[in-house]
Amino acid sequence: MFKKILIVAAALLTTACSLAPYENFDSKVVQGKQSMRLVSQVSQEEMVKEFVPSNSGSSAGAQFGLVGALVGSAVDASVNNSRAQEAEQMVEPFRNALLDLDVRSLVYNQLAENSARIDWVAEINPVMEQLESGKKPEEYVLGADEDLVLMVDTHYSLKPGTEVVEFVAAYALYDRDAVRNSGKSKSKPIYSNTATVQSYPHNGSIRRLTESEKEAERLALEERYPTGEDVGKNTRARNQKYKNKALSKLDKKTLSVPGYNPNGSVWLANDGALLRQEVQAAPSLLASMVIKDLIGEYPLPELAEGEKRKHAKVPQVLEELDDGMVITRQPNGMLLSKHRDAPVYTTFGNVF
Amino acid sequence: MLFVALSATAGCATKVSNTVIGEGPLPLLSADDGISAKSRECPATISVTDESVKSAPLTDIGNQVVRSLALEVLQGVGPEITEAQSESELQVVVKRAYVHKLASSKSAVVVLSVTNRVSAESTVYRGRSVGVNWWGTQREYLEGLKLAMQEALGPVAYQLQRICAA
Repeated sequence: MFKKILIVAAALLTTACSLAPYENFDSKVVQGKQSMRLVSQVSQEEMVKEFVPSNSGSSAGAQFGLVGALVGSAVDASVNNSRAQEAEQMVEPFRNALLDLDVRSLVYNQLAENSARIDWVAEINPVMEQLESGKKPEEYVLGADEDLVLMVDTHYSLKPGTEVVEFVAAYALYDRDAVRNSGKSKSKPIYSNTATVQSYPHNGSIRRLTESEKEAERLALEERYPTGEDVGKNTRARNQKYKNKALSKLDKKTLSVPGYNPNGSVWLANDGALLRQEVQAAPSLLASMVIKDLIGEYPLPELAEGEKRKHAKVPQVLEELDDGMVITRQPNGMLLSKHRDAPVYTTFGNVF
Repeated sequence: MLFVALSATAGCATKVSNTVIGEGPLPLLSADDGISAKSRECPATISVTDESVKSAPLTDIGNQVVRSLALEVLQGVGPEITEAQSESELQVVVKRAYVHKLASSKSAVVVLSVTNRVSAESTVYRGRSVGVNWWGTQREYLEGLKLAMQEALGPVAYQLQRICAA
């Protein structure tokens, strides 16, 4: 296991160095194509609750040789099984609250509706399908009648701390003739990307300060560390130093959200009203993001003449919605919608 | 080390559970549960319909597999099993039957609705089985699904046995 981790890490590092900066989809590459099949796949039947998987046992056991690694893996399997059982038990009320919602159709309908905005192909045939187990997308593409196949694979989950509901769509556009000519093993999509929607953090655990809170903190710092003429020179210099240090931390300061409950009971109140609201709203936003990415409504920052595109270092803001939700393009090209004051909730915690 | 390994495997046991959803009366309750005498009668026929979508890793299983898992549980509990759903007194509809992978574990879930045609009452039952995904084979997934089906249909089978034996 440990060896595998090292190999994967080495491969990731090498690819990171050799990867070209992200480029948007260019519709010129599909010029002349007449038809496209849009395949919407949601390969889960109900809401999933993520949990933090354990791999510490196998990592620690590896230093004791093969037997140690095996024992470590057994420990991990046991820990993960307990966590899986706990997560499955915890998510059940959420599943019950969504029992009458057909998430698969919600996603499909929104994708089909939004796809009407695509203007680089004349005919679009949306379908809702479940790919056979183990079947590669390329094999499916070969059997399509259309020139292009846009595969959108969506999954949705509750993050481990139940802070947000997350919808993720991985989408890839294939040219059937290119797949046919290159052979199954070598074929790659013309374009692929991922769009993530993290709901309003109704059960948020942590947040950044709002502008008014920052202003209040600034005023408090002014009072605490006065730097006016009436203060002695040495004190003034010391206060200025302390104040500057505190001000520099203000943008990264976080607050714990009072009332946060790891069980996520707020989602289930009033017959799961908030949960249902977010699960019903997410497919529309997700589909809109996917299609806007494909029709060029999210352009990359313009380059000066002769300037070459470099790897982005910070997310690019694409849309700011009235309810505080912000859509950004991450440095790796992925699209993300989340609340402006909330972190990105991940399987392992949160990142601002 | 052996002790650690042995204690570790204890956590690998499969856990099963079931839930009955809804506050209304179950379609089949005993006399002291305060439901009309008519709906307490042993239903003459029972039907099972599978409406579940087969998603990975169960996309390749046959159309009748889930239904046959349900019939295995209901066989011999009282009512005659019939193919005609519209005519059956007790209608079992499998809404969901799936397996999903969770790190090195797997969770099998069955959700079904049971409707008593006589009393027009319907209740949702849910069964679950979570255990280590040892081999990742279809056979193993079906074993999990079978356990989940037994959990989901367990309360129905129990009620039928009580009512139909009386």
